[in-house]
Amino acid sequence: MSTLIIRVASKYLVAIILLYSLFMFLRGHNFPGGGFIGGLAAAIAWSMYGIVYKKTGITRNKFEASTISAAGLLIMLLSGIISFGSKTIFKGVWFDIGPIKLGTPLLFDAGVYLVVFGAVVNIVNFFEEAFKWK
Amino acid sequence: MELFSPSFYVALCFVLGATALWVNKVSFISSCFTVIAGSTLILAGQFYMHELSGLSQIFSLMCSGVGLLVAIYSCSYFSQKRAEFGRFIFFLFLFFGSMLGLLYSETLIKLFVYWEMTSITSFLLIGFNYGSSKAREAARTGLLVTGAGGLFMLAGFVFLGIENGSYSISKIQSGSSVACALILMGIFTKSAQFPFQFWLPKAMKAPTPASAFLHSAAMVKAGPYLILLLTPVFKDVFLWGAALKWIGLASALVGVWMSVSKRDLKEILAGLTISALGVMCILSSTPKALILFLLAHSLYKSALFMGVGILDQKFGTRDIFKLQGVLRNNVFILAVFSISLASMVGLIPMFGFVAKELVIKSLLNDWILFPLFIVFTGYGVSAIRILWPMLNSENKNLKSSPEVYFILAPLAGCVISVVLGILPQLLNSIIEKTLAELGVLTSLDLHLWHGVTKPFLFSMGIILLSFLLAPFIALKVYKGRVGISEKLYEHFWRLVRVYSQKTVNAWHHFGTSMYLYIFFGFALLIVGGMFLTYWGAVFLPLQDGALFYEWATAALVVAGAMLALRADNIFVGVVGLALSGYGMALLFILFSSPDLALTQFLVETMTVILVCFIFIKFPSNVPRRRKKRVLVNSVFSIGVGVLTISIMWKVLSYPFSSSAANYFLKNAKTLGHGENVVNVAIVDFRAFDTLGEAFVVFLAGVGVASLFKLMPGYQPKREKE
Repeated sequence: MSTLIIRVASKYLVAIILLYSLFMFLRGHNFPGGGFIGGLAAAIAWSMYGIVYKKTGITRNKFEASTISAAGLLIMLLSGIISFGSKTIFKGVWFDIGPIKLGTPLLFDAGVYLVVFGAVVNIVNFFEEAFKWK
Repeated sequence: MELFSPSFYVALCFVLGATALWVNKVSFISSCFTVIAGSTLILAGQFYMHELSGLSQIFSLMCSGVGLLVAIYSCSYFSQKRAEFGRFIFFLFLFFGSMLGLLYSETLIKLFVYWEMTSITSFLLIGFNYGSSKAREAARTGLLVTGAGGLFMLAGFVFLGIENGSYSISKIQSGSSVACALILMGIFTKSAQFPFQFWLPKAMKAPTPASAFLHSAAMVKAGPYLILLLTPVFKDVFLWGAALKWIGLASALVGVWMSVSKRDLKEILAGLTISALGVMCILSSTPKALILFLLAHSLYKSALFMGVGILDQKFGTRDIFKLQGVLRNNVFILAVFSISLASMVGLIPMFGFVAKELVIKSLLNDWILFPLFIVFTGYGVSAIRILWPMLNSENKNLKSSPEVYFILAPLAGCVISVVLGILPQLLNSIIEKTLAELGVLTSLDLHLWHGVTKPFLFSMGIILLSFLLAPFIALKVYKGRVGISEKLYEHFWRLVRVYSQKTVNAWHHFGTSMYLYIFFGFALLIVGGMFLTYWGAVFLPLQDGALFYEWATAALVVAGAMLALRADNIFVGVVGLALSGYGMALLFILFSSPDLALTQFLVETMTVILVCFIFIKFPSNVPRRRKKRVLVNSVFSIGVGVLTISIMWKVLSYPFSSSAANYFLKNAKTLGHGENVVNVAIVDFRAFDTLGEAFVVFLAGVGVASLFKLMPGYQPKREKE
């Protein structure tokens, strides 16, 4: 599965899909998209890279994919705790920055993105590694 | 959370334990300091908890007082094994916190939760040395017995709650015999009463500081706490008093026998604990005597345990006959043992004497005093049995005196025993407050010396008799035997193990397809059966006029599925499935849910990638299945398909409650600041649900990874060079 065409194409495709996944993630609040979809798209990009170059996606020395997933969970939890000041949890807290409204739901969605991305990449990593076993 | 409210102290315990665990990685001394300072704060706080009932306050004072002593003691106990200290103190403070939570609870449900938490944390403590199979076994026994009893108690609480219309303890007025019986199960298991007494001696596998805490002031005292709490509730129930009296008497006698027949110091003490708890059950009708007896017991018993721990640590044995003459060499340990044993037997001027006077006085006209006479004589004999071998001869081998800080905590316990013995008046006000709450209106007049009264003569008789009997009983070595209830327990659990293994084997040795048959078979049988019986076959009429492109998409889905079914090559099959899935996604778009469609698209893509991974190693040609198998498979799959469709269809014919949907639609823009209602609902309105779902995704990732790690050939990641 590593013909020259795919190898060259995938370099660009990975970048484009990753960009697309970010785009999907950011537009999610107003249009179809969101953290789950973005995360899945990013994971697909990553696994494509892994398949083509026979490398296990994210370099396993720095980050375990499951660590990314767990970090995502933590971010979700944190974004929920931010509203603790008003004695509830998981309530959106919003800030106005010029015309843009930023809020904890964005943070929360980023957490979803990471969780999905990490979990799927983790699975794919192991599938890929399994080929190398005898 | 209000500062310095009851829940603050529970939280403080948990946080303190975690902090000590963490600090211990850096410095043992700082960890000790943290623990001691923290438990001092907890103890000090108990004096200002005026919002609590007197009963809770007495118990929480006792618990945190002994807790402080135990914390100090464990610092010295673990000074040789510093690495383990963090884990121990973490468990200990989890336990401490749950015990305080239990005492602070104002509803039955809360009480139950903390009750079970003490069971679980004591499991951790008993099994602290998890390398030893005996410790594991002991921990399991403790957990199973107390946990099972706790479940009975929960049922009893539910009865009480329904009968009184409230779970708040202050609103519970009366209870039925059923509730009473169920709750008694909880009390008897937790307090190690006959016939559940066997878990307590086993639990002596715990490190000694834990034993000192669990079996003097905390765990087992939850039973008497509940007895005191519920005696006014069950005052009209015959069973309550009778069961407490008889079971208590049986345990008191069994416990004395256990203590006299064992050689291991901790087991002797365990027997005495069971016996003392039995006496507390008997005293349920006289809360005044019960409270005093309980306080005295927790003081002397914790000091005794700590003393035993010192001997164990220094000389590596707890056998009384191997510790011959050990007390001659060290005056401090001698003081600890003699003062606390004197308090146990009830000698002047110990606190135990005051308590025992009151006990005898309150039972003076009761026949049960005579069996109690035997029990108390047994205490005397046991005390002599403990002291005599350790005093009688000089022993050069056991000449090593413990460090001063080691002896500090048990000595402090003894000092309190003496002080409270001489000045029992200190307790007057708080006990009177408690008694008033429990509906007993007596003025309490605690004094050390009441003159030569009947109870005093009675006490003297007990002491005299124990000295007379001691030479005949105390110094013999008895053969240890396993009690009948323990045998029954072991037999029961062996049966449980065997049959659960058989059940597992019966369901678990098939291939994957068999699992699917079982799962779908049950679904068809039960859900399908329910469907036909209850919901009939009346469906909403189909809406007319599906458009041509909708038909076309549906056809695509079906065509993909057919392709997957008929494919000889596995990759063609995968493509067929994907086609079917993409068709579904198209349908989602047609029925205006783009988010769902996007997700479906991506999931399909991902699935194809993963399936390719799996099948790349398999031969790509699928062998034709046998006809019979095909038939069975089609019956199952068509059945499940039809069932799912009919359920969906049927569900549609019921009216939806659209209040949530309307709320989301109305407020997505104003409150959630987003146009995409689906996303706003997911990340804002229902964020907590999403957190749970994300956790499931995370677990799926980790789960798949661990399945891979189980496969032969897995090489763990190499360390970085």
